[in-house]
Amino acid sequence: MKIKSLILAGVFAIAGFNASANNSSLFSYNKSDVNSKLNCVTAVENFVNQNEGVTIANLNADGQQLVAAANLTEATSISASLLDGPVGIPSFVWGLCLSVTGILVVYLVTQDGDETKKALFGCLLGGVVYGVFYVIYVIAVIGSF
Amino acid sequence: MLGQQFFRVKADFSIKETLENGKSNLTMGTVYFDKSSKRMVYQIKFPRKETLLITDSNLYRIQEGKIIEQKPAFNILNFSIYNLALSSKMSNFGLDGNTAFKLVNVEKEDSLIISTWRPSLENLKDITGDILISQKKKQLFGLVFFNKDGKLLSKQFFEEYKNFKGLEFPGNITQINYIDGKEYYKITTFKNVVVNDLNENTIYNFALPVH
Repeated sequence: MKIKSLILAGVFAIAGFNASANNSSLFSYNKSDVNSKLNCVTAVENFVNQNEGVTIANLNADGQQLVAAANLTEATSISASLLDGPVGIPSFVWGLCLSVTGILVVYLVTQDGDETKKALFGCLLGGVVYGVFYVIYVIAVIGSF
Repeated sequence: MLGQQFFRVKADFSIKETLENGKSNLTMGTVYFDKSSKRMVYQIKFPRKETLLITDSNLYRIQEGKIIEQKPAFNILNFSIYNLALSSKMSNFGLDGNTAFKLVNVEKEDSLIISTWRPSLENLKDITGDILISQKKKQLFGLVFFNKDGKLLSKQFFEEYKNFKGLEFPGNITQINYIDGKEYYKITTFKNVVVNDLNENTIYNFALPVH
């Protein structure tokens, strides 16, 4: 138990434990406000749950009315909802060790063409550096025989 | 005592969101994730019936048994909420041991433990800023993302956790994106979560249609 406490204390010390800072306000949101913004979409969701097998193409008049009220897109939101996943943009952030993913991050985060180009150049440069090291490694391995 | 090994998760999902073009989106269906076969399968029932297969390199969109779209999808599986949950890495969102970000601060405020992660790679600092992670009762509660200039980009909240055979999984994820001074919302809900399901192998090991 003592060891555990010491390790914990060490981690906090290294990380710069700061009890006075105030970031907790960042971790709050108005839940009812968010829900109300999506009220019309929730009505469609309930309709779909109550009508097994219904799609946007075979809605009855009630369903069509709900979809119109929600101003719903007909497309499945692949890039917006699934490619960035339920966890959102940051899914890619974790994978930044992969240079191609880094480009996606730039695109998704900044939506800025120039920034994306910079990341692309960074990726290409990274690839060249990796390639050079790989060639040196292979030569060294071959030379050792 | 060894912890239980989790290898599969299945859940009914719903994603509701507001879009920048003023429209909204609703996507509903069932998601299957198999850690061993490295496959994530979305059986979508609304707005239209289709299947999305995500492997460790690609995303395939399949309608009526035909691949209608293919996109590169690097690293989605590893950092998906499903893999993080099954691997018990969700509380720190997989940042432990990640070389791209370093832990620079930890603070305890009210019921939250808040950690600040800063990009440690030079080229990464030009792209993104700090990430704040909060934990409540040892569970991931919130994520806050800033851009390289310290401007707030996005907040995500993981709530309504339930325990499924020892696996803690959120029932609700709320995301607020801040774009050009406006807020956009996304709510993802999970229901009927099944862990380590031994049925439906065909879906968990979903094979691409052959033409």
